[in-house]
Amino acid sequence: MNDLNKIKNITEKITLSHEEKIKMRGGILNFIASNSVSKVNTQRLLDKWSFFNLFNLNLKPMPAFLGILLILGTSGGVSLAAESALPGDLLYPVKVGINEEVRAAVSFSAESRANWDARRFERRLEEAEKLAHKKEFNSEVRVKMEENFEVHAERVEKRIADFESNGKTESAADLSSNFETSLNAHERILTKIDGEEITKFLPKVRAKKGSAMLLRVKLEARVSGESNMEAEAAAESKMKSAEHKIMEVRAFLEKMRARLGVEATADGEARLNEAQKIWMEGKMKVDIKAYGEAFALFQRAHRIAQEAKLLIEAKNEFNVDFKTREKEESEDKILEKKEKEEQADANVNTNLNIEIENESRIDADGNEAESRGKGQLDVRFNVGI
Amino acid sequence: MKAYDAYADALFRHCYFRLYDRERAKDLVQDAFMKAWEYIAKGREVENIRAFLYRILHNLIVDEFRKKKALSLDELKEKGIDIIAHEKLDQNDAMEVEKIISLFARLEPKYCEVATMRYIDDLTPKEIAEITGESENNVSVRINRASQKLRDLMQIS
Repeated sequence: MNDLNKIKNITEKITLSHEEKIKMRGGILNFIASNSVSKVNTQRLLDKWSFFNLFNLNLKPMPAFLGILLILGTSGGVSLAAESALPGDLLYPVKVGINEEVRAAVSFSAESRANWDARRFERRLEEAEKLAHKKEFNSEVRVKMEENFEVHAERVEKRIADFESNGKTESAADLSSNFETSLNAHERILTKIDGEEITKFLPKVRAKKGSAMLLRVKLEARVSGESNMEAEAAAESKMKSAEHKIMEVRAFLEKMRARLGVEATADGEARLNEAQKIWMEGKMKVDIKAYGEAFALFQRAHRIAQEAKLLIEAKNEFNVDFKTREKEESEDKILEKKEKEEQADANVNTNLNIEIENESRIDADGNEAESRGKGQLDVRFNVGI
Repeated sequence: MKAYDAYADALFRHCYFRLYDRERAKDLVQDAFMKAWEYIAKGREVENIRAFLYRILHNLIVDEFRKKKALSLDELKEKGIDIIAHEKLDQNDAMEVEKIISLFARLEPKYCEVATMRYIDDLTPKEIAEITGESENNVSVRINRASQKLRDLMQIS
């Protein structure tokens, strides 16, 4: 190949496959269905911009979910209306069972699927907050919410585990950090909203937050332990990502300051300044080639910036206030407490095994075992650490 | 106006040769169509839909590079260039595509960007200027430099 003009002839063979085109088409249709104001407007726009040609009948077979999308797209914004539905609303099953599932089905990369699962998990927490704010978070809702919370949290945890097992440690650390940020911010928001059932729901959120934190710390240590080249690449990538996040939140804060006033956004400003300071510390670590520490600092800066945004949004929606210093004191304590809990679990398992062993021997051997069982205390240890 | 199918392939190709990640390229192309839809659904007019789509996609790619460092050639080799066996691509073609990727990956990002648009997407300097928001003159100069670098790299390899 000695002519630059031949490059096009070679590269034009790189195309989407038939299935990929159908899937992408489905994703775009889903988006249109979820964002269309009315059937009339949608149809007019699709007719006008025929390049979309999304309903090309030559593409067969059409997956079942596209059929659903077509129905939704022509049903006057059902899909759109469902987006604001809360547990107990008529359209809530459409939101969770159709909108969210279709969105999941049309994600291509592992990263975008994981990000969508994380977003779905966050939507559950947002729903809890909205219900609590409306004083509709009763015991029935709490039980259902706890169930959904577990299901969606497990999906995110599985994505993290999949990234880890595929050697994508940085993606695992990224997702786990975002997961922790969601839990942290929403736990704070829920704490500010009164309600007996919310108080019963919170321990679940806190427990998950502790696990997420431990996992994140473990993954950061793993990134730190990678080869110098990999750790450097991870640190530089995270440095850019954190910088981008800080800029994004700063722009958001300026917009919100105009709407809510200086006092209402002062806390957010303080958090963002803290994020910036930590980012600078990370940059200094990069300069001295301490890439593992830099990565952890950039992750932290990213978390604080993202949390600032979530808390300002909550302030706007629910009119609640947050103090910056609460978080810093509690993080180490949470980790320490979580580690002690895990250690305590390991000890409980040991004791249970002794008791079970005794019972088995008694059950299996009948009368003879009874006399033997009573005399035995020290049988087998399941260390399980 | 061209059909959706023709634009999707061309946009995907552009994104693939910028990111070298097939799955991520598909995500961004899908996002580009969605953003175009959002813009149009607000009643705004678009004169040149092709350039508009490329511009959206270009901005998404720039954002992607802001969040993640672009892969160096060494990192690309380690990761493995995922040329998927496709009905249109035989072994010889796959090798040729890999050679092109290896060449382009050696360019600095600003040259790789214009070289991709010029030689892979077959866009004119005027179209590239419209997409990147730069002057046509700057784009032409950059294309010339990128072309020279590519020729030098071809001779070395």
